[in-house]
Amino acid sequence: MSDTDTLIEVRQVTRRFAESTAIKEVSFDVYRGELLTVVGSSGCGKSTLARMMAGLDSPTSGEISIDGKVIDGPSPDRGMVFQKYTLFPWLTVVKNVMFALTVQGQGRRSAESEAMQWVEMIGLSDFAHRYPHELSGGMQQRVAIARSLAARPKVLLMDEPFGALDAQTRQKMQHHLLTICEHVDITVVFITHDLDEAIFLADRVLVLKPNPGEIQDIVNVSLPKPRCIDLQFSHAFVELRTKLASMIHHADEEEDLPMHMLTMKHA
Amino acid sequence: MIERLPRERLLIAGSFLLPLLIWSIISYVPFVWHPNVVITDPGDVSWFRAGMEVTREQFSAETEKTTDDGLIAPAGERVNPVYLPAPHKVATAMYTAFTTEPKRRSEKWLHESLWHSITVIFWGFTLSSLIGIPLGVLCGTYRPMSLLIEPFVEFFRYFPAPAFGALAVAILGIHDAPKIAIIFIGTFFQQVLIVANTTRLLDPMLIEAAKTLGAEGRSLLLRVVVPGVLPNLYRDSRILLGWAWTYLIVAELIGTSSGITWFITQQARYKNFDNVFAAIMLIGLIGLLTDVILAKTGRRLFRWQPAEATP
Repeated sequence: MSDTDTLIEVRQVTRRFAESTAIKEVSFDVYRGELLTVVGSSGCGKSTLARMMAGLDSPTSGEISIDGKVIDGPSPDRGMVFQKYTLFPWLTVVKNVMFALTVQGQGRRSAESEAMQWVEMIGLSDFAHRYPHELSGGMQQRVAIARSLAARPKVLLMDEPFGALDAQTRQKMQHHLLTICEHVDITVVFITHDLDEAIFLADRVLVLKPNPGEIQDIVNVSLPKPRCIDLQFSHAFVELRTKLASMIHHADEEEDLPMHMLTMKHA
Repeated sequence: MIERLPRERLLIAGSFLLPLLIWSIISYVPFVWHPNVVITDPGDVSWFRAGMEVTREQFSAETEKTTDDGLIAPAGERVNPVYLPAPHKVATAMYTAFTTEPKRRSEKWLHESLWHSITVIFWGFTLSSLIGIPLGVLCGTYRPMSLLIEPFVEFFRYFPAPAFGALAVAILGIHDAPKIAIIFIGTFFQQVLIVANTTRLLDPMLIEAAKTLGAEGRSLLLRVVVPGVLPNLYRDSRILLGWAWTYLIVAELIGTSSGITWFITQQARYKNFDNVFAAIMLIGLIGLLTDVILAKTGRRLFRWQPAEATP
């Protein structure tokens, strides 16, 4: 890929906390228009990575830049969808989606009609004037995606956005997301611990190994698009899944072995 | 809206009926307490007078003495002390207090006293809220602000508000101003701390989400923090308003005694304890009524909250 295709550059990023190192000397690029998923077992610093890209946390060393500009705080050019439901409970669906627009000074009228288009796209027109607590978890996350996209970000960061949903809803949400990506010109960085989800959604999968979080590998997913559920039973999918699983398993084993021995001793 | 089950309604009614029942038993069932005897016929006891109240021990001692000496024994009825009037007496007192003219022309009707108390509370609480709530929200939102303001407020709130009574009178005169000041002092410092704490309880994820959507500084404060904490601030204010009533009684005693407290002390001086109880209960009723109204208004104002979140 040529340089102009790179949207985000992560360079030698390390994030240390008081007791541990969450991310250690991580470098990679996010290409414009791709959907990059980041997988790894819990505690590998995936969320920290996403938060640093959003500007909600800053690297101890190294830097992250978007379009050549170093990130030094949150900005609407980097939208974020969290695992926890973060819709503003005092605003209706459409007003939640309008939030970024009106904060940036857009008139109420035009903001509302623009927001309605997003609400329509996520298929929740009937719920436009409902409050978040009247919506199911899946619906809330759809609105959260629309709310972020309405701000016209360059990248959408998603930190295990479907983690709290049941398996069926999660699958539907994955479809929703892919459909949205077909219609909107957006780059997505999607954090997950679910391998199927990571492969199903991704153009590329970045595998992190834990303690400290380091890049294990970045794998291209050359499965055909548009993707459908049946894909998960295809030979190529299963093969890729096995490959990634063994990668993560390996990384975990190195990490977990002493822990197991420790608990054995205690027992 | 919270739908209450019939059983729950019963329990709520019971929470009022139970104390009333206990009060009634003590008042109407003679052998439960009734430690005194009111003399109906003094007999041959020289120091007894009809209508006089003596203790049961005194009465039985005198009765024994007279029968031993072959004199006429006194007669009397067992009663509770004058400071515990029966429910029906308090109920009548509550009614007659509103209908009887004050004893002197310069004195006020009960409803005028009450209204005066309400205005004092209103001004004390409103002035405190106008400054205390914004200050508390700022302290809860901005850490430097919290560090600058809260330690002193924390210290100051331990000063008992009534202790400022004499000072308030010296500075503000003897009328309503020092009373309002006492309620202000009693409410304000607690209010700042409570509001700051409530503000800090706002889900930090909402703030982070707002930041990624371009909110910062003033827009973050006014469009996320304030609406986010509003229902809880409203609930805090309801509790604080209850506290303001407790300061009222002290506040009204300083300078020229006024309002409902004046009525209570005056009636206690006349030993009209049924009136005293009536007045105390009126304060309770007004407090309860305001709170119920505020709770209902709150549910209307904050429709966006799930029903189980509303207290």
